[in-house]
Amino acid sequence: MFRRVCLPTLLGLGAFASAVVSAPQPLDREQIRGAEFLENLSIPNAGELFAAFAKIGKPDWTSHFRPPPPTSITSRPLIALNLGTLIADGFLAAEAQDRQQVKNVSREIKLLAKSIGLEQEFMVRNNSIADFADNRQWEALDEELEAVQSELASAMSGRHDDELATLMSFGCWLRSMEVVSAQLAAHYTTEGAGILRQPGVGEFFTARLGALPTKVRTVPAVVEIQRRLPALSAALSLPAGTPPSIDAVASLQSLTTGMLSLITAQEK
Amino acid sequence: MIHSSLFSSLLAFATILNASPARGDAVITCRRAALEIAGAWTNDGFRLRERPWAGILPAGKPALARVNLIAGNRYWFSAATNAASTFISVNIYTEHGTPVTAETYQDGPLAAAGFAPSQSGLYLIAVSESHGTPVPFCLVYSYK
Repeated sequence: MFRRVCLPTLLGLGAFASAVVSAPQPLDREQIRGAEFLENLSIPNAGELFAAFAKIGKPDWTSHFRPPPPTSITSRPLIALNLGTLIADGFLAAEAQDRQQVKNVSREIKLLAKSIGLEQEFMVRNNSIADFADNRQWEALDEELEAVQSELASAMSGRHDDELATLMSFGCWLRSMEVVSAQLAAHYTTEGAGILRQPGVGEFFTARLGALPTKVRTVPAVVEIQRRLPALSAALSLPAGTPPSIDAVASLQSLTTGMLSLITAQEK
Repeated sequence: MIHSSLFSSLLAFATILNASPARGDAVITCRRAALEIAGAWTNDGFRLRERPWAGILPAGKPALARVNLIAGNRYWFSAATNAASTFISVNIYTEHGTPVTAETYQDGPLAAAGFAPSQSGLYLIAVSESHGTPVPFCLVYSYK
């Protein structure tokens, strides 16, 4: 991999030691207001979230495995949403260090990618995911899953299906929030509850879903998700230092589980 | 890993930045350099996020982006420009614009900042250049 090959050419880790420089000036209001919220940078990925939770206990991640979503879905927006949830499942399987589950999830991603014509974009990654799982290279596997999401999003955008990329990103984020809220509801700690805070993400997706083309925005599941999203935003935007209560976490779990069930429901 | 789709995707990212879009070849050069810096953290167990923030640093003011950081994790933000004579810096602020205490690294066109938030939430990442001249840049981040 590129960065690993290049590592020896770096300046040398010794020379790379941190240097303290003069403290920067505080930002003014205009600068703060102008700071961009970027889909690719501003939203934590599922691996980040799971990694933080893994430090405050020993979560039984396998208890959050779920049956794969139906592969009979034909609605492209629903397929994109489900692809996102599966990528989050991949991060979950990696965090659980479960080789077989990683492969199972990878197979499901491949099936759904195929159903929207993106199988080729995933083929190479599918093989490397299996290799990383077999070799227990869990950090590398996380990076590979991130790459999967990135490449599928690029392919969607390249086909003028940006709305699918947005839905995939939302599906991944939603599934990761469902997993951690379920974990926390079962094993509540204030420290864990404090981790959940993610201001701005719900508002970002509210705006993005609201800007989707009408034919996508009016898909019943998307309509219902939009209706429920403000409640999710509010739950994740409590002031710093005020973690959600155990009841609030239970509500969050119920909310995210309900939204996920909209995505995975069989089409009528 | 340099992907075949990198060129088009980076250009797409760049168009939505408060920094202006950069030419594709410049972005690729910057990204390569940023990944080299980030590679240093990989040996220490940091996981790289694949998707970069890239564009043109505006003259005389920082490019700013919001990131949601998770308490308990440690982060490194690694940035590079292809303008060899330019010094760039990476700084991290709270959502209210107060600088946080971070480990920093600067070496001309390469810079990084490391931080372990005690509270989850929004933080602001600033990338600045020293010469008052717009230059292309790319930033990637790693976590563990």
